[in-house]
Amino acid sequence: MNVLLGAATAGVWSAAGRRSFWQGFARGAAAGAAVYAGKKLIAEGSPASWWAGRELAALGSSEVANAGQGLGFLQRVVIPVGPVRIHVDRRARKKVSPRLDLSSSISAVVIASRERAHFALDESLATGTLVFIVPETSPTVGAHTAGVVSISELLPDGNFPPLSTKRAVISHEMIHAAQSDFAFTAWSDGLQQAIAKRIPGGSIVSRYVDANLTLPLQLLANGLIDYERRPWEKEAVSFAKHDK
Amino acid sequence: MTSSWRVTASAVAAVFAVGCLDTVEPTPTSSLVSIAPVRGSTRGDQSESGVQFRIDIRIINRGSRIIFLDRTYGWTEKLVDQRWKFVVESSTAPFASIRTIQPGGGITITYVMQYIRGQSPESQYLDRVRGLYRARLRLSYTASGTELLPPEESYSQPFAVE
Repeated sequence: MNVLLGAATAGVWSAAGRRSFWQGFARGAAAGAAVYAGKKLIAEGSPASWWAGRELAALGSSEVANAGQGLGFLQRVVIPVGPVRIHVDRRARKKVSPRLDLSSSISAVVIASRERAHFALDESLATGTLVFIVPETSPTVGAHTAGVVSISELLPDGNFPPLSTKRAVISHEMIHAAQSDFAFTAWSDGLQQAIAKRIPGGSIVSRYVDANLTLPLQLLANGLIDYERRPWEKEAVSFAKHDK
Repeated sequence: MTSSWRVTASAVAAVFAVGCLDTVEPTPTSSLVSIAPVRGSTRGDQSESGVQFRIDIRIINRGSRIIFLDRTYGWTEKLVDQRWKFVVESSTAPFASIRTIQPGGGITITYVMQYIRGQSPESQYLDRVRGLYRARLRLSYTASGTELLPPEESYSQPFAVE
């Protein structure tokens, strides 16, 4: 699925840029395989694999974008670290430019303002993602919102079946983070840059802030499709096996 | 190794050192008595009026003296953010109802946790019944409870409630 998605994305962008669809398709397929490998790593459920997996998937997503835009191998790379996305362009004058992920930042503020929710420093450092511990008020034990993970305070970090383990739930939500990274890097980033050029002052804002333009679509899709039928949930469950 | 690599390696090591996840707070194990759930998990009931569960617990006397169990007493803790938090206590007349456990012998009891909203003292961790629990019993070397075993000798091993 990741291979197909990478291939189709790069192929469509290539065709839109009047380049060979099939060349983009083939390169995108290889990059999609890297995204798949990254998600497999995330599912291993340790701090090293969470970091390595998400960044490998991010490199794959970046390469899908490079393939679509006809750029060199890993010429542009977007590395997500907490609420910041580090944009690296090997050929640009300013090679490294960190940008604040606007939707992640807003999401973090909203989750942090919930009663009894608190920032989980250890889990955030272990994953490279903003993680919050929240009270369990519904059957849901974990959630991912725009790159921010929240997990139930009742999850044990150990094997106590039939309870889901904290690591499995973090892995599940981290796979959603990798999916979100793909949506941002392969789709939203290119759109944002194109739109920013057409709006006065847009380029300046875009230099410091990332807005995930696919987020409304993601929210809409979540509203339209039942949990069990969502392909992105099926993928996360198949990688990091646990109930919800 | 260049200095920039050294800084990067130190930063990565620091992230992993600080970012290690907390594990479940250990439960004390007694050398005098073994208190373990017969099965590792049970189903809980949840309604607007409260939550409850029952679980069979096997108690084995490993010591050389008779132990008396106070059947009127129950103390339940729930795992919250990898730490044990007290959630509910049930106690009527102490040692009004007892079970005797002979040295080397064992008994199985059904431990019941019941939390009724509005009647039990408020617990913010019992909105949902699901979770990891442990029970603390009241054990004594005398039938009247005058020679209690220390609380840390009286914990059950953890069990899951779904």
